[in-house]
Amino acid sequence: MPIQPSAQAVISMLERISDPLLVFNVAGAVTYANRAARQAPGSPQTALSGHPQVREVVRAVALGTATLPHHAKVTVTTASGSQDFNCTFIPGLTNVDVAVMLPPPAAAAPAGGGGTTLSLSQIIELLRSELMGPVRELLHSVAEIGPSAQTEQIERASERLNDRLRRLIDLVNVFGDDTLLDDNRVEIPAMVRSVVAELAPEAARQKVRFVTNGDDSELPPLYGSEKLLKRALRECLENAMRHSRREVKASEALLVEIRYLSSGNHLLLSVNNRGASSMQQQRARGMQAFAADEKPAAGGSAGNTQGTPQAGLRIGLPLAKRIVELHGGQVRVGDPEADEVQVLMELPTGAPNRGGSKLDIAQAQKYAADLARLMSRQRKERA
Amino acid sequence: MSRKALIVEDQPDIRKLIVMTLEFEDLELHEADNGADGWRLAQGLRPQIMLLDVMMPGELDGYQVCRKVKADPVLARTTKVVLLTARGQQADLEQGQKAGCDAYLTKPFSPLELLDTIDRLCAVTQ
Repeated sequence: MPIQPSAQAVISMLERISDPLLVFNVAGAVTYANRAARQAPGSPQTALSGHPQVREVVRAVALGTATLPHHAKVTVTTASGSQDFNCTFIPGLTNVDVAVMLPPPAAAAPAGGGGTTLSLSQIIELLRSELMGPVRELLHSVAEIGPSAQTEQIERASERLNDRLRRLIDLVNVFGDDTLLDDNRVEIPAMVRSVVAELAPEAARQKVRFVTNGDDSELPPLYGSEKLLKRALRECLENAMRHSRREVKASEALLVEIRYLSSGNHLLLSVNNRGASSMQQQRARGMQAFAADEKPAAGGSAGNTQGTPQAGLRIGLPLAKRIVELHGGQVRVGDPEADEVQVLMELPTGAPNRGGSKLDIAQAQKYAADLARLMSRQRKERA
Repeated sequence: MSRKALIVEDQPDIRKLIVMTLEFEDLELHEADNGADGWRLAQGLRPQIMLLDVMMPGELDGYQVCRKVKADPVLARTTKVVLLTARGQQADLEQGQKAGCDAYLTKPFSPLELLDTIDRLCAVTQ
């Protein structure tokens, strides 16, 4: 067997790899199967050992006529039917063997082929590609007509439509089965500043002022999707801005306060309406309007709410909540009767816990490649 | 007297691999699985070498621990920091430099390169 007992450490390492991994000798026989391979459906260590297709690849590698990595679908036919294994042939642990990596069971192609049905995200992508073009075209045409009250109105309506589309896309992205989060390092103070700057023109139009309050220096970072976290914060700020505006006379200036602080392994970010401070009752109504975004508008159909700001906001809070939940946090909406907090986001700081994750194959290969040199170096040093 | 090395890494398998690698050297090994514990241990141990993962759960990530080490008058003289991370973008490297790290290795790391880096940094300290 090519794996020497002295390399027990390597075997223990290979056992920890989550992808099924098999090692073949020059004759195409399996000399080692890691735990994931032993537990994989279809018993690949038995099915592939000595398989003519595998033997052929191993021989070609030995002769130098095939280069690694090499991908091949190996079909195993038995009395009960046939099974395909998507194999990736990679260099083995020594110069005389070849390793084969199989996709983990979850990543395997679904039975039956599929391909004729569309997933929700594909449908939305289709909608986006179909609608974004005409919307842009419309905006362009309106711009060419020249300024007038009517064109401004059409332009605003198109922009709203565009904005709703983008929100829908984000909504599908975060509710989809295959939501993948980035691991951007996100510093909350910088992100808050950036979102406030993006909203500044609209805030100025609505006479809303944002104030931030928090200790920038020692705040821990978050790890996740910067784009999505920005979207969540933006939705909360837009909600706060629009709802507080509705409760107060247009001539009065409003204040929305954003606070952030670190609490243990969490970062708390709150958005408070500080509108007309003497108007307790009005503030309470503002809260109700905000909280109502979680539910469909009472008695309202899509038709009668389409042109109102609330229609877009109904996407906003569920979207923000979902994004925060995907990052391991939660969103709490304040009690309408309470004085202070309207929306509180609680997000875990630092990277997601990876305590149970497995060693990846690339790291294992690097270690295995260096081990022999390390041992020889140690022997020389001792001598 | 053997030198002290502190490994701060949240993934047990990677931590084990680093331990297996450092066992080839004459080092007294200490471990922590998060930034806050790593920082507390560093203050007490004053290790010659500190291997820091960047992305760790909790209050402090690798960059922040590194900044704290380099801002500490004692540790800044005694401890060399190696950031060991899967984040290999130019912006990440610059962030590491800003934090004051002495070396930046990307995962998957080469054990040989890690040992050579440690030897080089310890030689500078002596």
